[in-house]
Amino acid sequence: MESLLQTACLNDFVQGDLGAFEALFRDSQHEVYRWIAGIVRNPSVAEELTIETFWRVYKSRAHFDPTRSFQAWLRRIATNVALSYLKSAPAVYEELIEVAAPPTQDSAVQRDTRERIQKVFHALPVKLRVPVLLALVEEIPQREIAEALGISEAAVKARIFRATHLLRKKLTQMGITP
Amino acid sequence: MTKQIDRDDAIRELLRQTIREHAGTTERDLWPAMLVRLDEQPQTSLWMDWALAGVLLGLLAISPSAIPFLLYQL
Repeated sequence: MESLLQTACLNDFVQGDLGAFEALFRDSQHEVYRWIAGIVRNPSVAEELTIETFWRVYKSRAHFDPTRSFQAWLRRIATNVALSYLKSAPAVYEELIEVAAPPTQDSAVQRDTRERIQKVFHALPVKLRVPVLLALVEEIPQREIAEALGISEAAVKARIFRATHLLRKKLTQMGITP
Repeated sequence: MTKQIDRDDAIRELLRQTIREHAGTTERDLWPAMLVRLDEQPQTSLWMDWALAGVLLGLLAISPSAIPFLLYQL
């Protein structure tokens, strides 16, 4: 849903008005950050990718149709930026996830189990991992995930099903029964 | 069917415990960083322009006979 501010600014933004871009940026930056952080799960990377997203938005403003949803367009670009990051830096992502998870007072056995589950989860392909993260961990409606990924809702369901099936299989092989 | 839902709930809970929900938002206003990014772009173009000019001058130094041809094209 577009805010009134966005509706008022969109035409000026498409014309290249920096003030309109700033208004749109300030109105949406935190939402874009939250969305990206939900995918990459690292605050500093999420900030960088938020800037990258808005940079791409600014660069391709001439291609945006002001009669269509700005929020949907923005989220689609943010998703693509986050997915590109995950695909280009999988090793870094794994290390960052470990840092991002705050330490708890688990026993060594629980910590070991958690690490093994994380490894199995990170071994999933990005295209399966991201829908699971957004749907099961962040609890975002599947319709919104489908829109952001540019696939159908049925495809989102199928990817989540495949991912959970794979996860369960791998975890059972490791002796962890979910 | 119920068993399947229970198993899905179990794996969902396991993932939630393992990969914690990302804690909310950034307090920082990212607009200043955005402005820096917007300002960086012309500098990159300028650097590219100088690089291209350097390559062109280098080629002309190696092959001076191309100068009349280049002037004709201008």
